[in-house]
This record gives sequence, C-alpha cells and structure tokens, in this order.
Amino acid sequence: MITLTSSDGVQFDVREAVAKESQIIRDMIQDDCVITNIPLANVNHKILSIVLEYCQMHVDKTEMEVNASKHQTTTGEGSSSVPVALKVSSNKNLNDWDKEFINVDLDTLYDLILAANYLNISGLLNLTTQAAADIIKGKTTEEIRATFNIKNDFTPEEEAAIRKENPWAFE
Amino acid sequence: MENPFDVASKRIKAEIEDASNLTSRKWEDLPINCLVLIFKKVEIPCLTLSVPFVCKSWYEASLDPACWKVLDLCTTDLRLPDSRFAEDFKCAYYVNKFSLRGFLKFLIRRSNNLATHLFTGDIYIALHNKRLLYEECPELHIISRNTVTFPPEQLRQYFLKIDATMTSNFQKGGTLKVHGFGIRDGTMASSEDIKM
Repeated sequence: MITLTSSDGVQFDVREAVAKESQIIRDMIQDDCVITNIPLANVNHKILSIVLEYCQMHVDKTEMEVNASKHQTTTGEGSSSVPVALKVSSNKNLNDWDKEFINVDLDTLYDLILAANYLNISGLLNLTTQAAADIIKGKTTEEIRATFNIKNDFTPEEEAAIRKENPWAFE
Repeated sequence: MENPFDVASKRIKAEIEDASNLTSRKWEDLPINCLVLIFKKVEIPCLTLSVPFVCKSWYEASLDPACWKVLDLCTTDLRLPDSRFAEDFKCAYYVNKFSLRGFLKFLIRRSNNLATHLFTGDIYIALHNKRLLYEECPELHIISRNTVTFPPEQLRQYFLKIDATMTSNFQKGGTLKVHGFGIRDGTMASSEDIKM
C-alpha cells in the first residue's frame, strides 16, 4: 500500500498498482523502492478522490482481463475467440463507465485536466481533454467565450491583424 | 401591472445568478500543452473559424503545429466555391476568394509542414493538389474513402511520379504506366484495373 496525501492534508491509502497509473508516481517508486508516502502539492482531496476512482476502475478492469485470459490458457479452451469477445465487451463497459465518469461540471473538468496533466495519467488526460473538445465542438467564438467564461483580450486592431495573416495562400 | 424597472432588475438578477453557475476557473490560463491536447480533438471548421479568436492564449495554442498533424476534412463543407465553410472562412480571414488549394496551403502552414494524415472524406483532391501536399509535408498520408488499399508510402511515390510524368505524356492518350501502376485517360484506374 502507498499513502498519497492531498494538498489539503487528506491521506489516501491505495494499492501500488493504482498509484502507478500515474507516470510521475511510477517514476518516484522506481527511483526509490521504499517510498510509502507521497505528498501531492497540486491536487486537493476532492479532485484526488475522483482521480483515484478512475485509476482504481482502470486497474481493476485490466486485472480482470488478465485473470480471465490466464484462466483461458490454463483450462486450454479455444484460445482465440472467447478472450477477444470478452475483451471487446469489457472495453465497451469501460468506455461506458468513462463516459458516465466524465459527466462533471466545468470546474471539476478543469481541475481534472490539471491533475491528470500534473500526475501524468495519460488515459485520464485523454478522456478529460476529449470532454473539453466535445464541449467546444460546433460552437462559435462567442459561444465558446460564454461557455468557458473567457474574456476577449484582443484589441480590435490585434484581432484584425491576426485575421489578415493568410491572404497569401489565396493569391 | 409590474413596474418595467422591476422586470428589468429581476431579469438582470436572474442573469447574475446564471453567471454564478458559470465556470470560475480560468480556462484561458490552462497550460498550453493541455490546450493543445484539447484543440487536437476539435474538428477543423471550429479549430479554424472559432477557437483562434477566443482570446490570446487560445490563439497561441491553436497555432501549435501539433493541433494540425492529423487533418480530418470529413466534417468540413468544401463544396466550392460557395459552401457555408468557404463563406465563413472568407469572413473570418478577410480573403476575397476561397479555393481548396488556398485552404490546403493554410493547413500546410498551420501544421508547419508536419501533417501526418489527411482524411479527405468525399472531397476530391486533384492531382496537382496531392502533389503540393506530398511535396510540402514529407510525412503526410492522404486517406480518402475511395483510396485503393495500397501502402501509403507506395501511393505517395505514385502520385509524385505520376504528376511529374503526366504533363509530358498525357496528351498521347492510351495507358500510362508508372512503376507498375496503370492509369487510363487521366483518371486513376480502379483496383481491379491496376496491374501490379
């Protein structure tokens, strides 16, 4: 077990495999194999608990698959068709779970992107940035600003300048 | 009868309450590598017409060539010259005349010549434009719905060769052979017709 301490001092005891979903923690453990307590200065307990829920689920699913395929090999049954079907259905379940998991408000999504980036959890970073991209898709500049509460910091002159950069391509 | 000022102030209050539901995070301050990861997943029309003009940091991130490595034109309405996208592009970038070739040059420039995949969907990319793409982007693979399933590198060599030899040989008519591929009447033969 490894203890992860959030920026606001809450401790989470997790299995090493779960913590190792984070590349940065994986590197720490490799460098110092007796490490048992890792303070995470940039993630508060609310976000860390969500991140760990994600890691836990993905580790459990992977382990289930490995066990299932081991079972297949030891019992010597049809080695090709069944595990593939199992894998597909379990991937589908995991995708459904991811979809449900990432259905969060914008503030949480923002914090999860930062946490996934800081902890370097590629699956979670991919999932969270995809969710943000899905919100942006099909929106106009104005709609994006309104949704993400972003102020237009271009002066009219600056905006005109960047809009005028490309006529060379069409001459 | 309600006082119009009360109605107005109620409306404003409601708007302020709505605003409190807005995100309080500073999405313009998201690290640039995170913005790039997001923009990579936004489709081309939105990445071209909406995202760059949101604010300065989003503009900077949208210029990162990584956002333009995999180009999927399937969602871009490029029926020329008066498609909705063409019209919006002309307005957004103050150009008088839109052309597919110009837009491809724009994409090449945005990718800093590092584009790796171009999915053309149903859009027809003429030979001279394919040549432009292949010459400008050394890593590029063009994938169309009708692409015969040759290895990308073989296709790329084929188009570069064919365009170079086409100009001199085309008028002679008949079948033109380049590196084992056959071409008839200036159109690429279907997979059954191509003799390896």
